[in-house]
Amino acid sequence: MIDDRIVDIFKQAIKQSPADQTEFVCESEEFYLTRFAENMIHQNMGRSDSTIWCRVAVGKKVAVARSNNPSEQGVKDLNRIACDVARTRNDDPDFASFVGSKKAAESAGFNKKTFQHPAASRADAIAEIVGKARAANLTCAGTYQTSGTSLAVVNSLGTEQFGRTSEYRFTLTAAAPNGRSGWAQAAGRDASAFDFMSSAQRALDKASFTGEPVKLDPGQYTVILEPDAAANFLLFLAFLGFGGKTLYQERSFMSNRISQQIMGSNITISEDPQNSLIEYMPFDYEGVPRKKVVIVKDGIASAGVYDSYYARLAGTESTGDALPPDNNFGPYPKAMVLNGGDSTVDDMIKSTPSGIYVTRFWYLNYLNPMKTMVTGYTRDGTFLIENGRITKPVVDMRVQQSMLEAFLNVELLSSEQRLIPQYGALMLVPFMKIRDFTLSAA
Amino acid sequence: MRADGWGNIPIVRMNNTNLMPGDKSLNDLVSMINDGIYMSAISSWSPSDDRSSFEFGCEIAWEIKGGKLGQAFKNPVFSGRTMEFWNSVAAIGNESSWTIWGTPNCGKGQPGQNARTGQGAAPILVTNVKVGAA
Repeated sequence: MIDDRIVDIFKQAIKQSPADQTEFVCESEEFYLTRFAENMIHQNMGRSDSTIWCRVAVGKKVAVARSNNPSEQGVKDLNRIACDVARTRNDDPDFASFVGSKKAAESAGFNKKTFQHPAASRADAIAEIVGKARAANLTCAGTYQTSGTSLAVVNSLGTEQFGRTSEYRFTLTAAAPNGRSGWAQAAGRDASAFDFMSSAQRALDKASFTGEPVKLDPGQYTVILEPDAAANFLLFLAFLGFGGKTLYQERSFMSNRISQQIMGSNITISEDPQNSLIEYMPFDYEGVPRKKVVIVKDGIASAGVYDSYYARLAGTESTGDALPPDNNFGPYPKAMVLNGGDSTVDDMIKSTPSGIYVTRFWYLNYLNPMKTMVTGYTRDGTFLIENGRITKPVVDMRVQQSMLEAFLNVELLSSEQRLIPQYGALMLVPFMKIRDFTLSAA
Repeated sequence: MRADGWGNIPIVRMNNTNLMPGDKSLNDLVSMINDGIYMSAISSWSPSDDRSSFEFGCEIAWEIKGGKLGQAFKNPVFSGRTMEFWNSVAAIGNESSWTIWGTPNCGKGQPGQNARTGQGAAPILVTNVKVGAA
């Protein structure tokens, strides 16, 4: 993993850059992975690599070049390529300037024990899980990874940022001979505190659940979503409408609805990168310190998240949510917290005369972005709730649901929240009990 | 087998999966239909984990009445069981309507890998497909 010496290399290159404005970004990752299937470890790997971006502005012509060569010469060459490309570009009439930022706070998301977590420890954890799985006549597959990431951002407007984070991620699918499966995942900053068996047991218990799966009719059901499923909805809402690009272009379900009630009054969503369980990289890919943003407050649309480009167009300030320089997706929140309530998952089940318990969704995709209508499947642990008890497995069903409507129909939220990793985001999300949730035959 | 970079394990992937052309022009296909829907511009896809069923969304569809295109519809969707769907193909477009389509970001694996994939296809006429609007 590249250390902070890259900052000086970038500063030297910026001094020699012929562009009007120059920005360098280096994201470097050292990553270790143990992969297992059929109750056996079949791959141990380590990978160290970096991505370096040079973004330049020549007048209103903006270009980006990318490499993985952090040497002084490699960085200079990258700058030359970016400048060559910029001269061939058309003007971007909406471009004004890169952004200069003060030093961000030190990253609290780096844990040396996680970064140096030995492969043998990962193997020992998997051996313990596989031992339990074999005893229960189950077959396990999954991954256990630990990594360290550094991010450096330096530009010609005085920005100089360097930070590090570490992370562990764990996934497990347990399968029974009858084809039923259970699933669990976990993530965090401190691998030494990771209770892997507690996470694994959730998957093992679901795969071991006895009884013939019941096939349900299409209809509207009361559902209890585990945090993984709830987080999937949350992140898809973020992709569709919490980012400054979608808001500015009026492609967001929140466009022109700020200060209006769009979700139930029990829903509050924040981008909270400094949350003590999330501890996201304290600045974004433009070097802007990440800010806490309340996106939805008591169900009322409050604000989106921005990079500098769309913030200027929207007449606001960057919230520190820029993506890498060559992205065209636009900013979106990566460290969201969905506030919990005062319920427990046991309370949710006991208070449900008839409903469905959902572990996670599979292959969600949009059908109507402005209505936030998605489709997908339930998977790896779907159960029938009858008279306040989980009674039978359910044949997995197709989801056909507006996510906004689901977030309008939330009856209960758990006080327990889990840290859920999805698509580069880390989210802190509770269990949700939702009425009138549309499911059909798969 | 493909990997999306030097640092990832190669995984089994569909690279270029082509539906060979048939013998009907697009106009022929439309004229064969008395009461149907012409789906165009796919925008969303969601197969089940075992690929036995699916639901896809499109940008636009047109009603077909008496062999002619009529009213347009936004956000149309269609869904079905994979084997039933492909066993219900009544006709396939010819080379004049055959195009190489592609996906630049086909995701697979843990940790995820992205790959470009290609799919050559022509319009097809399929019977008894469940359609709707999102």
